[in-house]
Amino acid sequence: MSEPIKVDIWSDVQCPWCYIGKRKFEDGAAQFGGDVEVEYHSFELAPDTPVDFDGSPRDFLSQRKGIALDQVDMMLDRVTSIAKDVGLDYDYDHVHQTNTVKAHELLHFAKSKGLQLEMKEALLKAYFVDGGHVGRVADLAELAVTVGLDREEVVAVLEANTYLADVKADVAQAQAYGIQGVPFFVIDGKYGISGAQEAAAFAGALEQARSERDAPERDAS
Amino acid sequence: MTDVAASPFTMVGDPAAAACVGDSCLIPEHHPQAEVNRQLDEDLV
Repeated sequence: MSEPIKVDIWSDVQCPWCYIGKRKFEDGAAQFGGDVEVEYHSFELAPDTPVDFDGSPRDFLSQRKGIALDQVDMMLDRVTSIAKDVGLDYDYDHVHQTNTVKAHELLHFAKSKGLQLEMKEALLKAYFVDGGHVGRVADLAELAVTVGLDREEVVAVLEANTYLADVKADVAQAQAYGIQGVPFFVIDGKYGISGAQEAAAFAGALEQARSERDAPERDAS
Repeated sequence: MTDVAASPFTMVGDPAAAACVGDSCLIPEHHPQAEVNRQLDEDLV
């Protein structure tokens, strides 16, 4: 039996296209049908955002980017509509804009426990759908419990910055790869896919990677 | 979205797919007519 196709994904918790892209990737992986091993890597879109930013993404975009509020509303409505198409109910009225470095540290801790995929889904759902706060240690620990992590252990590693270096290493790796935006997918260490692509693009790249793996076996036989 | 020259990967898929860059998550102007316009600009059709 062949090894699963490895997929490395750079992503941020407060990236709307990352959650939409996640669903499209999952659809593509299902179409592909083969074994796939996914690992998430950290990417911080706005690392200087305060943990307790007093406002919504609407406020954030208008204050920080200088975009008129009516234009922000149109953008968020459009993203919400696209999310709906892949089964995600974004609730921008209740999103807490925050700093995501602790969420990324938590994802690395979850990876060490074999629960990274569950934690990633829980964080994205908390942020975009459930109005949860994904910047504060107490809230993150609460969420971590829902995927089977130990609350006290989570609080301890987050307060000690145990996985901060891993987060920064992921960000540095992304820069070395020339990755400027997320989501970014690397299929089997060969193919790069940028953005929330259609499912067929992911299925095609996975199929291509599998056929290239199989080619030497065919040539040898 | 990605510095293709710096990327060690073979890029596949739509280069204009939606992504977040910096703290900006803009919606690309990408639909069939935009694709046709791009091809016209590049004398491909």
